[in-house]
Amino acid sequence: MPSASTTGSSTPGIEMAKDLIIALLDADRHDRIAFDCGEPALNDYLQKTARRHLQKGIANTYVLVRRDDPRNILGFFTLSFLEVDSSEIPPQYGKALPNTHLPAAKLGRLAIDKRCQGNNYGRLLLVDAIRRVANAIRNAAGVVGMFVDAKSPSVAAFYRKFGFIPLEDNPRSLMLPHQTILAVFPEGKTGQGIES
Amino acid sequence: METVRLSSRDAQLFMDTLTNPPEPNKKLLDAVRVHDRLVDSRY
Repeated sequence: MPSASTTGSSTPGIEMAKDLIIALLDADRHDRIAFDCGEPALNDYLQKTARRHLQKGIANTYVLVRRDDPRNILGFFTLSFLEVDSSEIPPQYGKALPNTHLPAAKLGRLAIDKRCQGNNYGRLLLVDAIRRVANAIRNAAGVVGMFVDAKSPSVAAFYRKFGFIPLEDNPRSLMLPHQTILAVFPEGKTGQGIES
Repeated sequence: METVRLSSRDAQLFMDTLTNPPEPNKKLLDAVRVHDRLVDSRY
């Protein structure tokens, strides 16, 4: 039977515990070995590289777990920063931008365990990633937008469905501009649900 | 740090997009509502 939090019913004034949690990877708390999304490179990243990248500040990995089974990773994504080389930017925009590199966020990997595929968890991870970038823009560091590299045309189609814009000469690289990100989460909404 | 190098065509697209950013689409906003209902986001 679905719980109250999945059916949307709730008692006014009482915060219902949500069924799913997305949190920073914790190697002591999360079982990385059991994860299998069907893509060896992504499994290997989670199992062998994610913790090291987190420790070195290269990329943060966030994992999706169920509240009642918090060790079992259902999906994950990574966030990092990248630079956009501005050398090809048309001169008419020159005054508006620094003449070097522009900071951006990168959604590096997004994967769902095979046992959970088809449950629309991918969109929950995507929203969570966008929310964290919006939160960073408002509270920590500016970025011009968010980039993602899609591994296949079908993955690119997934991101396009949510408004990501494909580059013309590299359609598997897609972006969401920072104003759009902020519009998704208006002022005061970026921190909703995020707790330490 | 990774660098994205844009072609001149993509640099134009990039700047056009920054200058005239699209509104979030319905699919994304619907997904936000589902996320808010089901997910606790934590650091």
